[in-house]
Amino acid sequence: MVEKSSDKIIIHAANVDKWFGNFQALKGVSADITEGEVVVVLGPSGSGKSTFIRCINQLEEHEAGEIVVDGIEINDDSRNLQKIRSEVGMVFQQFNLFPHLTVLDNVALAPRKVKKMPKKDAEELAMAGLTRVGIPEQAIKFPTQLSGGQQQRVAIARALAMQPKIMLFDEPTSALDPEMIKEVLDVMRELAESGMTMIIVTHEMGFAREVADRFLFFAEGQIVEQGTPDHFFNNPQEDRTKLFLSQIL
Amino acid sequence: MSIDSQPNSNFSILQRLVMAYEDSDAKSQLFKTKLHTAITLVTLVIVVWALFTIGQFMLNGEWQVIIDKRRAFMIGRYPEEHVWRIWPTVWMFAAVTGLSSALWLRPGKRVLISLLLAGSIISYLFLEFDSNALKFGFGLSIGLFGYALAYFGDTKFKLTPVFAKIAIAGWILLIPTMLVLLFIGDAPTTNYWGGLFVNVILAAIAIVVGTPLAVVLALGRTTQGYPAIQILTTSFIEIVRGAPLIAWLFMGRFVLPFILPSWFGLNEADVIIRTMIILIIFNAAYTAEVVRGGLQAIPKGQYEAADSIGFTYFQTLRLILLPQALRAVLPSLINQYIGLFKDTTLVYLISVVDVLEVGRKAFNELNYSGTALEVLVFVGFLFWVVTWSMSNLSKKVEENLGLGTR
Repeated sequence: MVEKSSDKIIIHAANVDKWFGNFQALKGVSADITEGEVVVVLGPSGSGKSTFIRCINQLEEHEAGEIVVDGIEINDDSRNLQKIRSEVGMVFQQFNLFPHLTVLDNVALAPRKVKKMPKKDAEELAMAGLTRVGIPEQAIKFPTQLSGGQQQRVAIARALAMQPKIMLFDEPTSALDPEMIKEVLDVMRELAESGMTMIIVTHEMGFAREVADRFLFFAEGQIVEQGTPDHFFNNPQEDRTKLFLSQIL
Repeated sequence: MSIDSQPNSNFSILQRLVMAYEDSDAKSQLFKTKLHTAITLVTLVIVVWALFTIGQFMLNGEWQVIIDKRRAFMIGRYPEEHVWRIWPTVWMFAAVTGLSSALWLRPGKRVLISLLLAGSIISYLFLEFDSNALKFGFGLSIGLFGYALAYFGDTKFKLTPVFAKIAIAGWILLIPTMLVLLFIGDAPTTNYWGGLFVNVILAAIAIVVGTPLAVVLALGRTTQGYPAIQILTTSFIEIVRGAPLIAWLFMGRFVLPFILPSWFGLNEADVIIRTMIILIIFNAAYTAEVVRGGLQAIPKGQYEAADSIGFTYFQTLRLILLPQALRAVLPSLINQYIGLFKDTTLVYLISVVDVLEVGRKAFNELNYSGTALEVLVFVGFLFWVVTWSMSNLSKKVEENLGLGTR
């Protein structure tokens, strides 16, 4: 893919544990992700892959282990948390747009309120973002007036408006009709080519193979195997990985 | 004789009836079979009988009591030389209502014309009695002027943001202005407050102060991870809701002075202030449950999205949660407010002379014996006008806010 600008580690996770009641969702997960890297997280449902990326911006609090994002360690200091969240954008399976705001306001709100940008500048930035994802003409509509694919592209623009260093995608195309998946993947592909650090949970294997620098394969709360797409498709080592790949390919 | 067509809220009942009849479906169905014909005729008889009875009552009723006591109905025994304290609030209300309706509600020509007509009739009826008609008419003109100003300011000169700021400031300042005017200088004590004026003030204060309190209570009750706050707010809500309003009013009248420290300034005379406190608390507890319903209807994804773009708790609350929650529960909120407004008539039990009590006193006078029905119908009508305006307003607001939400 793109030449790496540096080998700087932007996300460092070490021995991360996460419990939901009696169920351990993450069992000592460790991973280092370098700046500009596109990482695709694979695994069966319930394997902890969503939980892992949700720990990175602390939508889930981990119980043990260490997570450092761009040199900021996640701890009890809420200012650190705020700082991390404004550097990490997230796109959800269900879009989670704000239904009471127009598309433009959805995108412009965070720069205005979090970065205290003047309204006019924030709206210009938002329009630029909407142009980037290909739907500037939908700016004055409300989210529910848009198709699923368009809503997800707005969600991507909303996350990008904070000019994050890292983008997390939690099954971004799973709630979409098949004919709308491509338009969202195209936006993500463009983003990957621009050198954005991305962590993507997805089942779109063709897309994953094309954009990923590295695959992380999760099973039962652990990273079972990792490597390049070539490694995974041609030479998987673990039985669990082989089984998973045989089921979804 | 089922009428299949969807009722259209933009038309009056009469227009809808005519339309339903013109609709060939209904036309043929009214007399479709013998049964249809029979039902139609029976209905017709009932309607004609009801209209005839109401008409007869309107024509033959002893309405003199309403005209004689009109002043007491409105303001009780508030001294004449202090009435100037009340009118500015009325005018201010008219002005901001005019401005706001032009800015946000855009009532149809029909609504404007009927308001104008109603205003003129009231002015005309009162004209032969005293100068209050002029003051009322002045208020009406201010309202219309505000409407016209905002209307043309919007369509011709793009001054909407300016007018919007003025209107919002007006709404915020309305009740403080009213209170200042009622209390500055050698103002009559609250013992002199009475009539519809008291019902409106009590309800307005309970709504305006109680609703923010309700939001705080609802947030406290739904909060995660702070059990102390949860226990405190939940017990508050449950205890207040657990006893009838009358019990709380008596409590305010007779017990509150002993509980609260004396520097609170609640001497024996200030029954109204104590009633206000009780109504604020009572309304807050009920409204809190309405707001809680709205908060709980918001999907978890909204919180996560707000968190993920770096909002603080208060930003999430102000920008994402409350706008959606309050919009969703607007019909229930208005329902609560309408109930509260009518509950203010209970204050007669702690010897506040509200509009209903003025009426009761009036028809118990020897001069006006036998006018109970007329008086009660009139008082009912006053309440109906206010609550009907509230429900129509909420309908309009819902229509305006509904865009893009569902």
